[in-house]
Amino acid sequence: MSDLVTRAQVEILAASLHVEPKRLAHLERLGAEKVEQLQRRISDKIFDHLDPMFARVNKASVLVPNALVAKVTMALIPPLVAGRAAGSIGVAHPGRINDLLARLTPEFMADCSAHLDPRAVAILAPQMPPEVIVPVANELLRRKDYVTASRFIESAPDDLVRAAETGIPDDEGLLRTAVLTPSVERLGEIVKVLPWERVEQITRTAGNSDETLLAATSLLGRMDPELCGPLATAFFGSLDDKELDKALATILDNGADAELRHIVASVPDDLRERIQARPRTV
Amino acid sequence: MSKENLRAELGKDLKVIDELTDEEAAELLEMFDAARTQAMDDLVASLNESLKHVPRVLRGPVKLALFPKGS
Repeated sequence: MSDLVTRAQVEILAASLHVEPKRLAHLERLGAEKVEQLQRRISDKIFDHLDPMFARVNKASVLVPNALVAKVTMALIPPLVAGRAAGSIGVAHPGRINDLLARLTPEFMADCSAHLDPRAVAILAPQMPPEVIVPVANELLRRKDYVTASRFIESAPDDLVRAAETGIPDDEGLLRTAVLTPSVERLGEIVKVLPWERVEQITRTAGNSDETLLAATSLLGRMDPELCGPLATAFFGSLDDKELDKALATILDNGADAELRHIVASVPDDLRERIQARPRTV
Repeated sequence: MSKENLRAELGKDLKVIDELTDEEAAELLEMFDAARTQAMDDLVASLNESLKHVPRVLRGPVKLALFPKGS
């Protein structure tokens, strides 16, 4: 089964290098963790190279009112450049960035968000008001840009996670975003913050298509049994025998035997026995 | 040699470079150099374009802050 997290990291690396992801597809053999190390270092070095210029932008930005900065930014500055500069301005002028962002459209911020310095996101995310961030998250999910959305999960504080839970209606989008998040530890923390009914609702979107099923299988296969068990039960336990057989066939036909074994080992005895009694199983 | 050059740019502590072939390291270094140069060019071009839309009364000080004499 192809590793969705590794592929997402290759996609982020390709975006940093301005090349098509297929040019870097051979790096998938390194695995998600190593590709992430490579892409983070390359991103850091590119932003470090721009630092002296950002310092000047910060100096100049205090001379211009926010309303004008916002207007000129949306009209003239490409999202790639605006995203890169926004992180720097936000870190240098934390008191100003919220007002500035409130003047930008969610569509423009979504365009920019793929280009933010991840180090700046970690500093800025805890101070961003949810009413500014949640519409951007909804826009990213509307575009099905789950790779970019996944970059913000690690830095999202609990308050923002709670606001996202009430403000983002797209359950399947949240599942697809979670699947691409490298840190399962962080996902575990987020699950604890969310109401369990919503977590179950999100998990059940695994049944929407073969693609979502395989994405969810990949995610569950990475999780500790303590978290995988209840989540897998919420989904597989809700299926009737016909649906369960179809799900198992799809998982096995796509080579996710190892993930399925992990899931089966994590669920309660009664569900495990039910799964293992099916014609195609592990 | 390409791996050494990539280490010099990205840091000797980045162990994943050991797992690249020389060809992969050379290609990655070339992409990195191009992306870094492009990033600075894009930033400078955007700032120059933006300057034209800053009110005349502020344009001088903003330009000086962005592009100090001699830079």
